[in-house]
Amino acid sequence: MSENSGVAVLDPPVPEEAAPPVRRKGKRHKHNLAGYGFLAPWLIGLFAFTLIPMVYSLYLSLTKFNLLTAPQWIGFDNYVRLFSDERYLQSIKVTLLYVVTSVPLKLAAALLVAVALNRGLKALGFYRATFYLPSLLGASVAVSVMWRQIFSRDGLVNQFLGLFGIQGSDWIGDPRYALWTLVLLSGWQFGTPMLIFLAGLKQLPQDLYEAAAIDGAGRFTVFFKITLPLLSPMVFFNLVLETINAFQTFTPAYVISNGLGGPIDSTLLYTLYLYLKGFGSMQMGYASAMAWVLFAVIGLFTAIYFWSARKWVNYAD
Amino acid sequence: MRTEKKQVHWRAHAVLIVVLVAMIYPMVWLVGASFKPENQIFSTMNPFPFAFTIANYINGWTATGNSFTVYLANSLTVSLCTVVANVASCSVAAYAFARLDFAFKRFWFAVMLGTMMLPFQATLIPQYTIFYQLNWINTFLPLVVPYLLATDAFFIFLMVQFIRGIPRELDEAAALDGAGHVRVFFSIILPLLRPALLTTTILTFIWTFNDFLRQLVYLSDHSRYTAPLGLNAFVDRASGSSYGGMLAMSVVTLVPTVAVFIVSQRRLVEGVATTGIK
Amino acid sequence: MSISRRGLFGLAGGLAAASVAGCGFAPTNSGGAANNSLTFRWWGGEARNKAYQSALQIFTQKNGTKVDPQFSGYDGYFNKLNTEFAGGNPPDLFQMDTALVSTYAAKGVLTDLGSFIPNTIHLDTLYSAVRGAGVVDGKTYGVPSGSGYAPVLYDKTVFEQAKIPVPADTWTWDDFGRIAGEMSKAMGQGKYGALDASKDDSGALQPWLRQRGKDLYTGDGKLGFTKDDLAEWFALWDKLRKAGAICPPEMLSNTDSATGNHPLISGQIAMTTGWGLAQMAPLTQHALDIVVVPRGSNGKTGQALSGGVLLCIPAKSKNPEAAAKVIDLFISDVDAIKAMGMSRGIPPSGKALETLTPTLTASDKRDVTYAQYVADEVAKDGLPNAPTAPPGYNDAKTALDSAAKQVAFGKMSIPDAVAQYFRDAEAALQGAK
Repeated sequence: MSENSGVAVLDPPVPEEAAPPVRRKGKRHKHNLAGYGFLAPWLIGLFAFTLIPMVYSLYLSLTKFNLLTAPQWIGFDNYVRLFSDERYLQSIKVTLLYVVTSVPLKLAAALLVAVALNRGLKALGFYRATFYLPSLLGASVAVSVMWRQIFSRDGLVNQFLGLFGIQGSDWIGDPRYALWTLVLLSGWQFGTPMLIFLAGLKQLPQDLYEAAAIDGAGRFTVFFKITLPLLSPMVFFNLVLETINAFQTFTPAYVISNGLGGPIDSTLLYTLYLYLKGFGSMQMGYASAMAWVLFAVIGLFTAIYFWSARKWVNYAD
Repeated sequence: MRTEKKQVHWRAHAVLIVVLVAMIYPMVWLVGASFKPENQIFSTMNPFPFAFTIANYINGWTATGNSFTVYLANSLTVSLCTVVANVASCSVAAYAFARLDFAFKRFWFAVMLGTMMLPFQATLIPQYTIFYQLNWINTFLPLVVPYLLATDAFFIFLMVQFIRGIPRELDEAAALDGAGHVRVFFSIILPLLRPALLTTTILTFIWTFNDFLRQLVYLSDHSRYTAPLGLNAFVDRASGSSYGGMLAMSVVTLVPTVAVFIVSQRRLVEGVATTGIK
Repeated sequence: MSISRRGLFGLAGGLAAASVAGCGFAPTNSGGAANNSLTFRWWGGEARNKAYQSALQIFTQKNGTKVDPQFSGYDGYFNKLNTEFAGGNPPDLFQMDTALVSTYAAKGVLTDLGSFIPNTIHLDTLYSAVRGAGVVDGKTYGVPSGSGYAPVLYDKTVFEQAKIPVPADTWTWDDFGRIAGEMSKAMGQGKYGALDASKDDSGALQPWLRQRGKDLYTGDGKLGFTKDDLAEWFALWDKLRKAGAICPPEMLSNTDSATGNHPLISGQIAMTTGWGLAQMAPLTQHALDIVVVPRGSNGKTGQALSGGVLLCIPAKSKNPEAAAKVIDLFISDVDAIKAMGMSRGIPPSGKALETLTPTLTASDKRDVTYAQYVADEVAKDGLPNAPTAPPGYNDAKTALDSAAKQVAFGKMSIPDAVAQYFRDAEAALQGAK
């Protein structure tokens, strides 16, 4: 495929016969022994440290469990109660809003910067490091203190707006804007997808670009016709993972609102409410039910992504 | 032609610099505040310390019971072990998913993705119970051993994506030469997977270094505390906080992650020249 | 290829170095299993950590029992503790929040300290008013390690700049509203006389209720006030808010977080209810001071003595005898009390105070004199001691915070917010039974 790969990429992707989960009639699977051999460490870890706790939490979701005494079986009560819980519905609203805004913002910023930094500019290492710097911070008390200082009534943002005669609000304290400061915080820390895009760009075959340069293709043509399709496995990966992460965003909301999801529940992200219910109100059964609803929702989103991937993700294999 | 290129560069630099200033201002505030006397950290808005002091660094280093030297050494130990464990175990599992054809592959792949979809808060207690039964509480084992067994699906999936970006003819050619899967993995896939392995190294190191809740739950003894736990001991709503020390030690804690990032990203870029696919 | 192999060697070298440094992989022997050791968990800032550790050194010298101090910040403290309780592996002795002790006691996971009183734990050295802080259903489950009355904090410098006299210890809620209004005007745009305290249960609502002969909760685990009381309380603050005497609700979120961002420190407000003088004073260049919470029109302070934090022994403690001895050390050992000084607030016993008096600094002495003044005033109230917060109260507290902010942001009318509070708080207290 390598000799005509340029054409293959520019053409609409053809569903390939050699997609990985091939089923051949007759000799069904070529590498059962090797496959399970390579997979063994993962399988051991899966059963020992991941599946057992998951199954146990599924069981807990069907019980009333206050952490201190043994769980009591109550069937599907927790799931039924969820949908009459106003704060739960509020947390869904907040989370969906957060996911649909923060994921595109973060991915766009990451892709833009990664592509810009992949060019022949001097001092690239310096830029890369600086753009990555906010992501190194994680979400600690220091970040919380700093973010509040910047978005407070006489903080940097309002001082800047003041130059244009705009009187800004107390951004984190105002329920209309508090969530957007979290979206911005997430956008600010775009280092992870940026790094993955950068690594993906490193893997692209350079001969295609040389060919395109000979053809005199413009910058945008090159980006949309060559870079983006070739990078599609990484775009896909980042999209799936950032969506999963956004649904489960916990630490930023926890440190910025000091674990409360305020003001008046405007930053009550799903897992924050789950945490407050499970460890604060000590209703771990209820919290487990919340966790499994989220599991189902994320599973659905991921399934849709994978289904759509057939149409737009191109693999070299 | 050349001048035009230069102009483009200038414009690119200008845009990057403007974005950069906005991006790093909070960091400037953080570093500036760490050099301020405590009574000026919050009561003045200016990011630069006019009354410069390094007292926060000197006091902060030993303020939380143990010295930060111990916390940083523990963090480095846990992070480096996790990096090695993750890189080794995830690449092996990813090879199976990306290149091998075995029964129930689709199913296991879905299971692998599924392990990422349940929030960790829900499995914290059963996981704790398992590690307690193993008598691993208050050691680094619960923080490292799961990674040795590829429990971080994020990186398996990442490496699967990268391996699928490597043309199959390369390993098919090797297989024709009589190479088995182990040799194909070590001599074809691993070298070409370098960008992904470096990415995994950077991300694993930083995430482990900054992880708070898991380390808090599993480590109790002060001689085993890591840097995030040391930082947490500075601030308490009820019995007094030491913000100067906390901010100063936050800056110190950034140093190893910045160093790892700078070294690794340089290698990531070098990767093109040496192993770029033709 | 060669490069990647070098990379692998590098990683392996890192692993080797790390494992040499990493004795952290071996289990510790200080798990409290042995008879002569125990684990003691608390949350605290620098001052408390140092004080407790020096007291524990004295304990080890006297008893030969090693104490493994496990301290952290408040963040995640109960997450870790609850995980350990659920996993069956709690510490041998731990620090507890007064608002939560009954929740744990009701589930049977705490040791009834009755068998250690009075022989091991000399509870009678404590002020009688704090002895009850850890009592649930007549049994003692926790012993307080400090005590105090939550004051009103104010920024003395701002008052001086505004040329307005600082509040006097005899002031009432009417005075509070008037002074806050005057300060708002004097301080200028974007600054306010006082923080909105409508959400503050123990620092503001409790004294206000006790001034009227009620309380936050009753001894048998019900709410201690009516819907009308709460409606009146919200109306009081709503009037002040509309008059611009207290801060707008946007400012409140900064008080939820770590003290550093508190509007009192940034000079945006002049007064606030609650604890925090010792934490906030070092963070500002202004002078801060404290005054008694506003009195009722009948002159009563209504203050309830807070036991601060409690020390509790889990039912699964591996060394309850030694843990009980540590508790006693904190309340009655002269050397330990001297070592800790004033770092945990006003000591909870007359004996401790007597021990410390010769060594107190001028500002400490002032604090002690003030505490004694408040204690005398509270005694004049002639009110019964406040009961221990009932199981589930923590959620009722969250419900107050939520209802108060719904009113403050104008999202709910007062009657609706009151109804929401009673619905949620009663469900929380009922559900925890």
